[in-house]
Amino acid sequence: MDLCYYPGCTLKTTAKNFETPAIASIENLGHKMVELPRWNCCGTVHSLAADDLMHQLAPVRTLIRVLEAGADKVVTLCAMCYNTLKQTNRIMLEDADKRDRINNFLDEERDYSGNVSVLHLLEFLRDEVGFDEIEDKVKRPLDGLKLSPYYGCLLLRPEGIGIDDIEAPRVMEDFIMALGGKTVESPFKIECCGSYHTVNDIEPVVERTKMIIDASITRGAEAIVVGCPLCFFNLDYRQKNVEMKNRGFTRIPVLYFTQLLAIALGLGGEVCDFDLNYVDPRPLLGKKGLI
Amino acid sequence: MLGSLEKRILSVLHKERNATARGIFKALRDEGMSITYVTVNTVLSRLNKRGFVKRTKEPFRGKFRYTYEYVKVKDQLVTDFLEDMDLLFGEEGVDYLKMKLKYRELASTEEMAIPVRDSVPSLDMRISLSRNDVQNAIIKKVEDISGQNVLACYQCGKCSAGCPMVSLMDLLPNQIIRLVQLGQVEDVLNSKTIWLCASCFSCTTRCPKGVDLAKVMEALRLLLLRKSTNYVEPSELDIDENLPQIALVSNFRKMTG
Repeated sequence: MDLCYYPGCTLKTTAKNFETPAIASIENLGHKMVELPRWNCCGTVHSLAADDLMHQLAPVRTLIRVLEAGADKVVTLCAMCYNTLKQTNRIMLEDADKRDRINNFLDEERDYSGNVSVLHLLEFLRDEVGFDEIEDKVKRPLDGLKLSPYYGCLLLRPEGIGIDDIEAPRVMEDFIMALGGKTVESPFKIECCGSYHTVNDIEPVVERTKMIIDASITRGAEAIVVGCPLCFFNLDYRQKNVEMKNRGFTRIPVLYFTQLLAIALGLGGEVCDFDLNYVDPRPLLGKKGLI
Repeated sequence: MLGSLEKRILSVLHKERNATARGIFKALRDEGMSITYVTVNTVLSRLNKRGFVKRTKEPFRGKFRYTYEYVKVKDQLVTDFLEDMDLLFGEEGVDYLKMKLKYRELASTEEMAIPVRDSVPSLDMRISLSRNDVQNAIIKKVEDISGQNVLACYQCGKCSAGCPMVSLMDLLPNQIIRLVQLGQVEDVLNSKTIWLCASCFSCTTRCPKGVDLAKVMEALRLLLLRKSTNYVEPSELDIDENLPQIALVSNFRKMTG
């Protein structure tokens, strides 16, 4: 089955190590990720102002492109894209007044009524491929690898937008278990990583990253698993800043869930672009005999 | 510093000057306190050890009993207290104390029950209110932009309890909404809190009254950003080349006008 895929800016550049293993793995599972033609930026953060429709236009345009491509659902990898597209889609579906105003404004486009379903790749894997199916196709089970899932904010909240229960999500745990790995529960798995503060003020990020990582390491994790390029950057790259401030801090590799999928499916480290991981996960994976 | 029980016992002794443990126990019971005789005895020995009361042994029914006498401890307590204020809060603490004493004086003359607030450090939560404050046009604006009814909040504090940024904030999220309710918009707009909020929606999903605080925070930021002001000046930033694009776009979306 062809899958309409919206990459967004970061997946095409700094988060290649998120995208490449995803495309390879989905193909291995018998589907094909087809990049949406003429996609544009989603805006990254959903505008929360009731009087601001301007910032909903970019996501609406992208959703219209999905219909033009003959699809009725679009899959994203980036949690920020997912959240922005889905929140705007909800406005178009539920708020008739705003929908009309946006459609009138976008008079060069066809009318849009919120009828595309926005999916995150994890949802697709869980609901349409099925974790049982994935389990059957695993060639190199992640035996004994202790992984701590980190969801962050935008895959889960606000209510009605997330891919799983807002307080006690299970999807990443189930996914890891399907791949044969062990999960390590962390109390901070649904808490913010400091997000965009990482640009102008790294203090909050360094503090959050240290807390999140320490909690996972204390509970025995060997790596952290994420599904958002910004969480990835803050938890992975910012470890060097945490290290500068805290003597004795231990580094831990951070992996995209798609990298784990590719490895478990036996596609090898070549499709994982591990060069883009700041804390190199290869020594750990090598030690476990996975690459 | 004295514990609350120690204070109560000392205040009885201060009045009576001289009493037995039994006498103090009865006096506290009369004041409506539920306390046991053993506790009173324990606390008294502790006070004795610390030099706050003087203990004398006297014969009683063929055995003996202790009587306790008040020792003048005012000097020591006040000195300790001042040192603590100085150590904890520095000059601000001492100033604050002076201010407090002045208010006490003023309030007792009933000329000024509500103090002027601009010189009061943030330790004091008292504010003066008028109808104009509460019917402020800016509150209306916040409600318009956010689409939220800020008066729905009943201050349970759940937003602050779950906020991941709370340790860095100068005002707690529930204080922000309380101040908005009372029209104290200036305090709110000068606060770091509205910029630290990164819209993680933890408060939004947990509010029992359905107030979307993330939207209120966004509205407060927009009040400033829509005047074409920037909280973050992109040209002045030292940009790390490894930053993902989404970090830059979202930062500038949230922090520039």
